[in-house]
Amino acid sequence: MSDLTTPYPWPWYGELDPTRLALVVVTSPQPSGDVTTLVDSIGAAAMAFRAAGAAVVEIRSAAPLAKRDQQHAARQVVLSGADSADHVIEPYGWDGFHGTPLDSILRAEGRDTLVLSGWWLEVAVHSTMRAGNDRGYECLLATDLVAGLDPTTSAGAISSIHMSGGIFGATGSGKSVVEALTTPSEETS
Amino acid sequence: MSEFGPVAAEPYAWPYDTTFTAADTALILIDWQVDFCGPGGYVDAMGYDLNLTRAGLAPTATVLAAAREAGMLVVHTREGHRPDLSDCPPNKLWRSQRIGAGIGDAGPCGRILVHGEVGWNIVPEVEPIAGEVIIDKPGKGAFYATDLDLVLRTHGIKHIILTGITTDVCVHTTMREANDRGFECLLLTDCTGATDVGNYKAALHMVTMQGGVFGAIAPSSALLESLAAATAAAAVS
Repeated sequence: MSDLTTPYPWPWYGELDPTRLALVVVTSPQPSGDVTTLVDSIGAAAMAFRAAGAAVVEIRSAAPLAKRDQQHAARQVVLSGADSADHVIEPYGWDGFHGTPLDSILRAEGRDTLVLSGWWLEVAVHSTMRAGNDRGYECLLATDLVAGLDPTTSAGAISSIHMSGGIFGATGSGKSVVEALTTPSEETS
Repeated sequence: MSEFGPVAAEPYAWPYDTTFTAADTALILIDWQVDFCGPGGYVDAMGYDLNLTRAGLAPTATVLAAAREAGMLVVHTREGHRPDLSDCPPNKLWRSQRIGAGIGDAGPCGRILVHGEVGWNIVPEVEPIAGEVIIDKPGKGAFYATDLDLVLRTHGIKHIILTGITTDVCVHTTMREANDRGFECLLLTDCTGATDVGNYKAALHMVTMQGGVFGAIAPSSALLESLAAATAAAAVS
């Protein structure tokens, strides 16, 4: 993993331990684009994560309860079948931690390392990553498993993570995480 | 009690409920600390341009004076850790050390991001006065692991006006937290700055997406005009 993540070799503690790991799949209503391909990629990653011993958490984010309106009624359920989530969280806002049992579930399972995926990058995915990082979780944004609302703001959302040595964690590809989980670690001499 | 608003903001005239009063509105000043905008502090130690994080200081001082005049609740936040760093997540500490600006390490302004040190203090331009709320936070968001939510609700606050640094990090995290908790937020575009101009612009634009997904943005002049208009109307009547 070490050379594949920015701005530091993620996770900070060294070799990735799948028993400490969760794939966080953030979904949001009002899709402004086609996310079918992304959903397939996330589903494939979810199965690989689970096979390696990691958990899969789906967060069905939505507008804050105080601001919810008719437009937010539509919802896409991402994961189903073999790649369905181990835990489904339904926050009353964009951040998957606020007002939900997410933190309790992760702590009870001893999972302090999160790979963030889903949509939209600038909104619910970023809010959840920020909240996780403030709580001490070691977060990686999987750049190939997220969709943004706009190219410029997506670039800003990724750039912000890289500031100050990784202010919310790091970024890298979900593919490289799956490879790290499925490849036996090299013997150190 | 004077009613203010709406403020000419993007992407909608703020607030969404048309008016706000001094009693139901808080001005939040985020992390105007030496560590983030003063020479010898944390941001300076990392090699960033201090002019970028200091850019919003003078306009913020003007807004602060107006908010005090109007009688709004004023809240200052400070990011920092206990001297033994027991409230600093180990990954946060490790990352800071890796880039040569370790939290708790000695610097020109004392130990970096530690309570009570010179660098942890709020800069003189926007220094708190007696009676104003100070929130000490261990993370980026001012709501997590603090009593900010309780303080705001106890005061009956519904509207929040945000200033501070840095735009894409602590200001955005706090705005997101406030919005999720049902507060109606306005971010003042000239009263905030970031260590990277592109990230500052992207952070402002993000607020306006999807009809104002985290609230609205406006220059401080729009807010000041709104406050002045209400004061003038009160003088006439």
